[in-house]
Amino acid sequence: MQCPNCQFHNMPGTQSCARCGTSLRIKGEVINIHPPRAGSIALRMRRWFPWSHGYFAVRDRWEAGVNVPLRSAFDKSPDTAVILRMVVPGWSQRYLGERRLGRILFWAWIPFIVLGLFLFGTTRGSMLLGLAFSIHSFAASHLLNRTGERDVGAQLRRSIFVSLTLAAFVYGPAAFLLTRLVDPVTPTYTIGPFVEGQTLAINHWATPDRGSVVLYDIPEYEGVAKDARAHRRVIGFNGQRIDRVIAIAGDSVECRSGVMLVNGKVTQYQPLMSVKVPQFAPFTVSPGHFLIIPSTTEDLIFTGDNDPLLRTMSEVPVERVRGIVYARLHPTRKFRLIY
Amino acid sequence: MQRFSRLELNSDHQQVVPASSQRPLHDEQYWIASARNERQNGLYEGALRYYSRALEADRSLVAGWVGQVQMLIALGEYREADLWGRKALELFKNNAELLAGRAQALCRLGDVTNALASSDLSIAQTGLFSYAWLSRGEVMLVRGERTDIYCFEKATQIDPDWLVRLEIGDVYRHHHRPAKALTYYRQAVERAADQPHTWFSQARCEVDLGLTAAAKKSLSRCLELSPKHEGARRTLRQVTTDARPVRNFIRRVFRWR
Repeated sequence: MQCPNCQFHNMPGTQSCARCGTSLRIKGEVINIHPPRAGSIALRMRRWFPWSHGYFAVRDRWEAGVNVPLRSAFDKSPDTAVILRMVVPGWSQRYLGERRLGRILFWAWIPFIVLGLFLFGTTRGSMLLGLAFSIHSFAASHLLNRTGERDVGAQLRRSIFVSLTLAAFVYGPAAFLLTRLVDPVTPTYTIGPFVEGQTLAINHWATPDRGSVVLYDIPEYEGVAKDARAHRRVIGFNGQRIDRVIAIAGDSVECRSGVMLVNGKVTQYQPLMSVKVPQFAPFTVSPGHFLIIPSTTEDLIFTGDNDPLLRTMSEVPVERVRGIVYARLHPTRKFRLIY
Repeated sequence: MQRFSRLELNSDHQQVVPASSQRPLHDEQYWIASARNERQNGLYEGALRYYSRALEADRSLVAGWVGQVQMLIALGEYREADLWGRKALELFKNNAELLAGRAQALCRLGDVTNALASSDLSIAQTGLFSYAWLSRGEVMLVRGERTDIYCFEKATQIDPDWLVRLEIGDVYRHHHRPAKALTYYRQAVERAADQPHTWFSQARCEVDLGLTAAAKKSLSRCLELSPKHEGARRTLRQVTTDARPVRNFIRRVFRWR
């Protein structure tokens, strides 16, 4: 009996080939001879997402050191150390011995990043940060494109890869964190000292406390009220305001002859604009609310002493507070910390 | 009297059926030949069907199993080819061509480490197999080693058939090396100038390289040989009407099809 696989002549009656072990009874066996086929959707998905069929391709290529731009650049250097140093432009170059180039790249990058952060949220700031990103991207690409190959396409692809990686893993997360801490907001109308077009730094993460200056949406109100001349007018409050938190939930508030008392003591925190605060009947700030007297706009002219409208507009629910305002960034000559 | 001696006058003679007519109408060799014919014309779906028919006739036919794996790879169904290759290897242990087929499928899936292991095993088997060297060349190509040319040359030495050269060209083209692919396509065209598929493959490669005039010639030749060749007709239409230099340049730079 001849083996169909290795053509070895076996003894008659043998079950499997003595040389290769192939079954000699394949002809008689019931075997499915129709191969599995990929469905049209599966084929389309594989064509659209070519990486989905080989997650291990990257792993193997990385280990084998082929066709991976990052890897090929670091065959002769400690990989992780250099890659980690790419976070700062010029640091990797300095680490690899190119001190001069490293210094040039670093000092070219520093002014742009510092000024860009200083003017964060403004057009100039964006331009400066863009330039800082370009220098950073160039520094990393330069490092990876030192392989000596002359394939322009490969170099271009590598540079794009580097830029995307930097954007995704360095600048993107940094910008996200920064916008949580220093969210640049430009009021669309003048709110007291904050003129339309100015840029303010706002922290969304910090919890406001007594004395914090916050950006908030004033509780909406529409109704009839008397103005300073005792004329009855239809008024409405809405939109954003910026002012100081005088008291927090649970504080007892009282106003005696123009002096605010919080928990029975004279508070050091006054509304942002020095105004004559109308008389309050003693009350306790409701849970989940802040007491913020809107002094930066003309809202108070419609309220008199012991006016329930004053409490309506001053008790602000927590969810209407957008964040703590702590700096005016733009224009630069008017930069100041707000506290 | 001699001329009557061959007359079948006895009724017993009429009942004797010649052994050849007991066999099915088409045997496995017929189906294998049909599959090869389809494959030469670039009709891989049909070829796969014929290989299955051949296996229906004879399950122990290794060429049928190898052909199925090769056709699945040609159709871009690499996962299925890997699976089927593994199944076939359970039946035919350490068969060089099945190992080579599996290596090629794994290589296309990106699992180069296992592809190399499979290819090593394939080469280590006794006997010379053109497909084993072709697959080896592909693995070397993906690994970025320059021995791919040596492997492909070895494959063509073992089997000087034009189809081997055409498939080497396909390997290079699949891995975005159209310039190298064109060399093998041209060799295939030299050896089989009467085959429309060789001209068509060469034309597609020329399109990849931006050699529009040469591609038009190749496509025209293909259509002369096979006026109903839909692929050639479509490609010729694209080449003639769809001249987008910027798009083609971007395609070339990013190796995108």
